[in-house]
Amino acid sequence: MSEKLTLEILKKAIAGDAAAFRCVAELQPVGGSGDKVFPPTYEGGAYATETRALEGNRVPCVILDSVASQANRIELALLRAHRRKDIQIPVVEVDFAKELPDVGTISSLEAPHRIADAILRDSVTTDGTPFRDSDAGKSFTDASVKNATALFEWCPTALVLGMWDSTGPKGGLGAKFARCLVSEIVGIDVESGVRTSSRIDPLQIQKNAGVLFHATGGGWTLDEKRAAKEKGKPAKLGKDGKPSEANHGNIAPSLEAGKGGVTLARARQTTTLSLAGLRRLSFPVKGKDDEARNDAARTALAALGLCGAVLSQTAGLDLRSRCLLVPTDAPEWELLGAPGTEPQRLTLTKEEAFALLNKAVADAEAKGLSWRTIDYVLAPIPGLVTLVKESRRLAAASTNEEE
Amino acid sequence: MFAIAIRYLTGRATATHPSNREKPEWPPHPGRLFMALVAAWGDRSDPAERAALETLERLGPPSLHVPAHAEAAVVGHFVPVNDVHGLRNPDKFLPADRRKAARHFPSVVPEGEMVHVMWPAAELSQGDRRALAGLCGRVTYLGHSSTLVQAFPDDAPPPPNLVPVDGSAPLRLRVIGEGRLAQLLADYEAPRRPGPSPWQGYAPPASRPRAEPPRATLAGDFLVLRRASGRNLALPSTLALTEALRGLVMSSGAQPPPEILTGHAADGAPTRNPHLGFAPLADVGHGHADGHLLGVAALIPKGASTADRDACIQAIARSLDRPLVMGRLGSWQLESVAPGDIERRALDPATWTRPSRRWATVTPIVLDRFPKREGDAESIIALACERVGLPRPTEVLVVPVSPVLGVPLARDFPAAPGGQDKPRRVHTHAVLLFAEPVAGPVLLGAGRFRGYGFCRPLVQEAP
Repeated sequence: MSEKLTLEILKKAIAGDAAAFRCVAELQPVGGSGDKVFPPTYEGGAYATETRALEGNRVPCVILDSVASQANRIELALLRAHRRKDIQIPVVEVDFAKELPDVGTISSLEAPHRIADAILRDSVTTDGTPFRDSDAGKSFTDASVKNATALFEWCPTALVLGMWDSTGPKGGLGAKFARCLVSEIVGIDVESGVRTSSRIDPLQIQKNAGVLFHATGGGWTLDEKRAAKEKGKPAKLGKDGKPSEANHGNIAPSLEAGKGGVTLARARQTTTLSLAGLRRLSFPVKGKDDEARNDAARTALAALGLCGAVLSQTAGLDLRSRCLLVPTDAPEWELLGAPGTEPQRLTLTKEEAFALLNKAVADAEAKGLSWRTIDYVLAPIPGLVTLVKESRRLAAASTNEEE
Repeated sequence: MFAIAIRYLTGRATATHPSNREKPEWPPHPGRLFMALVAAWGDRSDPAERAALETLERLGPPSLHVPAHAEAAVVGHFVPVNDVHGLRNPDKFLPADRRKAARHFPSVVPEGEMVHVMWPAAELSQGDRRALAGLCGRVTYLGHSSTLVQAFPDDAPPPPNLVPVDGSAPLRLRVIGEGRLAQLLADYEAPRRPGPSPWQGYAPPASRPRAEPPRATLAGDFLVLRRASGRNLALPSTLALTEALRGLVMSSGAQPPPEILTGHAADGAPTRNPHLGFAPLADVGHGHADGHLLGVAALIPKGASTADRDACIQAIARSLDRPLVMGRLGSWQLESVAPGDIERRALDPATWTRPSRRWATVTPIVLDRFPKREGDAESIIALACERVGLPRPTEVLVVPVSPVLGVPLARDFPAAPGGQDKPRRVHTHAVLLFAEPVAGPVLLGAGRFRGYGFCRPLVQEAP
C-alpha cells in the first residue's frame, strides 16, 4: 500500500537514518511495444550496450539516457516550472538578447557547469563587476560541504546535481560537490536495428551527365571559363566534379547494421536521491552551525530533487528524435530505510511536488536560510559576444568549403 | 568478526580501475572503501572515528563476498569542457556549440546489490564499532559520484567467495595497510593525489591448498618481469643480469635505497634479514629447451613489512621505465606481466612455485663453505635448505649435470664472486628429495639473492 509523500515524511527521513529515495519507472516507446527507439550515440557512433543478468538470464541492454543527460533534463524541467511560476528557484542568467537575440538568456540551470560555468564567469553584473568578483560570485568561491550556505542561496541545483568550480579563482582545487541525485534510463532486452539510407532523385541526373566546377563568386558551373582557379587550373567540385558533389543524383540504397536504433522489451528509469549525501552538507550562518537549520535546508534540497525528478518524468520522456517513452504505470517512490527493513512506498504527483518544495523552502527561510527568488541577470562581456559571432562566421565558412 | 556491507543503490557500479582508465574496477577494492570512509571522516574529523579507522588499518586484508557481474561496454562519452580561456581561445561558448572532450566511464552491472567486506577474526571494541557505523552512514558513493551506495556494518555476512592468498593469485585488489590514514592526510594537505595502496592477491576459497606446504624465505611476492626487447641471453648470464637489475632497482627507488633493496644495513655490513632477490626465468624442462632467458623474477621475502613491500614494488615499477644495461651483454627492456597474461610456462609463477617433493637446480647452488671431505657438499646443501626455512631434505644428490632439460653444466656458469680476499666459491648442480611436498620458489645457497641455487619442481605433485 502506498501513501502520499508529505513534508512530514520527508523531514523524518532527513533527520533519521534512511539511505535514499528511489523510483523505478517502467517505460514503453510511445509507438507501442516493439516500436524502434534510438539510443544516444557515443564515440564512433556506437551505442552504450551492456549485458545484465535478470532472473538468471543474460539480457542485452542499452543506455537510453545517461546520468549526465538526465541531470540536464531535470534542470530544464525545473527552469520551465520556475518560468511558469509554479515554483521559485534561484536563477543566475546571462542575457545575450541585445546582441544575439536568438540565444536569449543562458541560466545557471542551462550552462553545462552550472553556476561555475565559463559563460557566467565571463559576464558582468549591472554595475560592470565581473561575476566572480561580485558579492554573489565571491560567496561560493570557498564553498565546501561544511559551508554550503552560499550555494543554497544562489544555486541549490548545484548541491543536488553536483558541481566542480574548476575554472574559478581556485582552479582545479575549487569547490567540488558530489551529486545526490542520480537518474538513468536503460533499455532492456534490446535487439539492434538496421539503418537504411537512399535518395531518389526526381530529376534522375546521371553520374556522367557533366563535370562541375567551383564558380567564382560561389555556387557551381559547367563552364570551364567561368570556373574559379586553383593552382592555375579550373577547380572541380570534390575530386572529379560529379553531380553528387552538388547534392544531385540518386544515392543507392544501403544498409548499416548497429546504427538503426533498437527494439526493446521495456525501458526502465531508475532515479535515486541519496539522503546520506544531503546529510553531509552543512549550512552555517554567520559562522554558527545549527542542526535544525541544516535539516531544514537538506529537506528543501531533497524536495527540489524530488520535484525535478517528478517533473522530468511527467513531462513525457522525449529524449531525442525517434526516442519518446511513456511510463506504463504511475511511478512510485520507495524510501530505503535501515538495511533489512521493507522500504516505505510513496507517491508524489507534480502538483504535490510543487507544494512540497514551496513549503520546504518556506520552512528553511523561517530558520534563516533563504534562497534568491528574483532572477539575477548578468551581461556578457563584449569579448564573449565577439567570440560567438566570430565562431558562427567560421562555422558557416567551413561548411561552405566542404561543398 | 567485523563486516561492512555495501548496497549499490542505482544498479550500476562505475569505478575506474587504477591500472587502466578504460577498465572498470570490480569487485570494489577494500582500499577504495577505506578511502571513502576517510572522506566521510574528513567532514567532522572526530578523534574517536579516527581511532576506529586506525584499528581498521591494522586488521589486515579482508575477505569479500561479491555477486557476479556483467561488464558494460566502455564507450567514449563526450562531455562539454569548462576550461576555455575566454579571449585567448577562439572557441565556442554556447552550450550547444561547446567543445567536448572524450571521457570514459567504465562500469559494471552487478547481479546482486550487496557486496560484503569482512574480517572474520577481528575483535573490535564497542566504541570502534559505533564509530565505524557512524562513518559508514556518511559514505554516499563508492567510485564515480553517480554510484550511490548505502554502507553499514553487518553482523551476519554471507560466507566469503574471495579470500586473500599469498604468492601469485588470479585477482589483485588494493587493500588498506597500516599507516594509510596518515598517508592520505599528508597527501590531502600537500595537496596531491592519494599515494598508491598496497595490493593483495585474492582467490576463491576452494582453490587454496588444504594444508599449506612449507615455503622458503623468498616466497613472499613473485613478480614476473618479461624481456620485452634485447638480445637473447642464456642461463650462464644470470649473474650479470641480476647484478644489473639489482643496481637498476636500487637507483630507481627512494634514495638512499632501503635495506630491503640493498641487502646491506646502514653501516654497510651485510644484513641478517632476507631482502629482495632475483631469479632467472629460463626456457627449460622440455625436449626443445635451450635454456634461454625469457625474463627475470623479482622475489620479495615473505613476512616483509608493508612498507618494505611497497618500497620494493615501487622501485621495481619505476625501474621498468629505464633500460637494463649489462655492459658487453647489451641492454634489455623489461616489462611487467599481469597475472592473467602469461603465455610461456617459464613466465608462469606456478611453474616455479607449485608444491613438489623433488626439486632440481636450474642454476647451480653456491656452497657456503668449501667442501673438504666426501659428503660435505651434500650436508652443506641440506643445511642451506634449513637456513631458508625449508625442512631438511631426506636426500641430496650432487651432480655435474642437472636433470632439468636445457640447463647448462655447472662448470659453464661463471663463479659467484667471493668478496674481498676470499677465494672463489664452489658451485654445483643438485637434486633434492623432501619427505613432504615443499612449495616454491626455492633458492638455496650463498648466491640465492642473485639467482644462483634456483630450483624447479621435477615432477608435478597433486595439489
